[in-house]
Amino acid sequence: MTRALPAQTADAVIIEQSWREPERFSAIFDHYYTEIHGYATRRLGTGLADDVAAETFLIAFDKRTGYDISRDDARPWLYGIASNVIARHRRAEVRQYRAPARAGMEDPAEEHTDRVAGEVDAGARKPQLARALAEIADGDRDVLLLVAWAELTSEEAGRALGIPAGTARSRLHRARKKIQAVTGKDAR
Amino acid sequence: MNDVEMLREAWDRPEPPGPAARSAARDALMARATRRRPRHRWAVRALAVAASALVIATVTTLVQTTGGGEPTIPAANAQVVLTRIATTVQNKTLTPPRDDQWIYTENRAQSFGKEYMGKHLTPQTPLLNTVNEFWTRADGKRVGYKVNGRLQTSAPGGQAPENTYALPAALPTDPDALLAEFRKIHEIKGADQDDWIFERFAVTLSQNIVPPDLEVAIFRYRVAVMSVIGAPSTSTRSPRSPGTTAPFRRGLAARRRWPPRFDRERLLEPCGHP
Repeated sequence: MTRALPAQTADAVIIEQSWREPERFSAIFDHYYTEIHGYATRRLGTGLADDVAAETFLIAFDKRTGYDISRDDARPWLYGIASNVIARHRRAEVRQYRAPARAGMEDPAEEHTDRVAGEVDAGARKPQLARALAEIADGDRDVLLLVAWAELTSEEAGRALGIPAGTARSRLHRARKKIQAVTGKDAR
Repeated sequence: MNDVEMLREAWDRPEPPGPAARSAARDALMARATRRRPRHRWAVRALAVAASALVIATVTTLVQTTGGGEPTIPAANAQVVLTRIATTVQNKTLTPPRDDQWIYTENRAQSFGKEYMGKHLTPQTPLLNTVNEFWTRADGKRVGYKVNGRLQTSAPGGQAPENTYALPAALPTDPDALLAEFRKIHEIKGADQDDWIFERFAVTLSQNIVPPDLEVAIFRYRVAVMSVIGAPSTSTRSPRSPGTTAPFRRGLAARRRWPPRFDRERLLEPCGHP
């Protein structure tokens, strides 16, 4: 196995060190806490994000001896754990998406503008996108948001969720179809 | 903009987590990380310092023995040894690599194989040898590594790689300025960066072709840190104030076997680079 020498020590090396020196795991926390917290915030809001991010790192620490050290980048692994923690708050997540969706429905001017212009920026689409997200099956949404918000590849998302790459791709495809139904854009 | 990009852009970038939440989460993690540790951690750390000093002393003794000339004198303590190293390095000559030359780095490490993950480990547990090879242009503009046995090169992007000549050559050689620059270059988000910065110093020494002035600066700083820790000193250099060196005390005490042992380095002519 060969590894590029990165500008900073690879995650796998740090995690392997933490098997014998548990405090080393703090480096993983320092690198990724903000990122994981941000992902949880988008999915659940700030209040729950604090708890989810904290618990993600505690679980990751407990599971660190099972980490596949051939994987230099720990992000997919951490996002997988975060996704499982977020899954305990499905109702809160759906409520989170339905709030902007309701707000958008109450704004007829915006709907009208959408129709007239035919092309609006992403921010203006948020209510429709949120409504679509609320309707997407949980497993499909997990893959879609790992790709869109965590910026993982579909293969990494599959690895994060413990599902085969082909399954991740088909889930992503299904989810994107639902998003495209409200944006009118074809998948690229 | 496709649907995935639209989804990404539609939600505002989240606010960074509050310092209280971060601090609470980190404290919880560290509490869990330390709860299985032996009670007398100070003793373990003291042993770690002693072991470091012993290793350094051994290396220096070997250098002195094989270097010939001066009689070999056992090192009194790590501070003395570090001072001697700094003095020796000061007289070292180095021909800097040209920008278009490549630096070859080989890391050899031993670790437990994956099959032992989560299992009880003993001194008899076999160790797996791994060899990692890297190539970097001296100017830091290209890096090379092996993928499936084939050498591939690419642009590193952003910051110059650590194991190149361009980065250390541009660093200041005043110890305090060097520390400030390291903090800037290697800044990470988080409350405590001391371990991280200390590790970067170690990586700089172990994986780089380092200009002698810079090497001296790093060793001088270590001497200063040692003097603050309280090692008996025979150095003529005045100890630095605790304020400037305190951040490294913990890192020094916790000095461990990482980074992996640096084995050898070679400069490659352009015609031989990948």
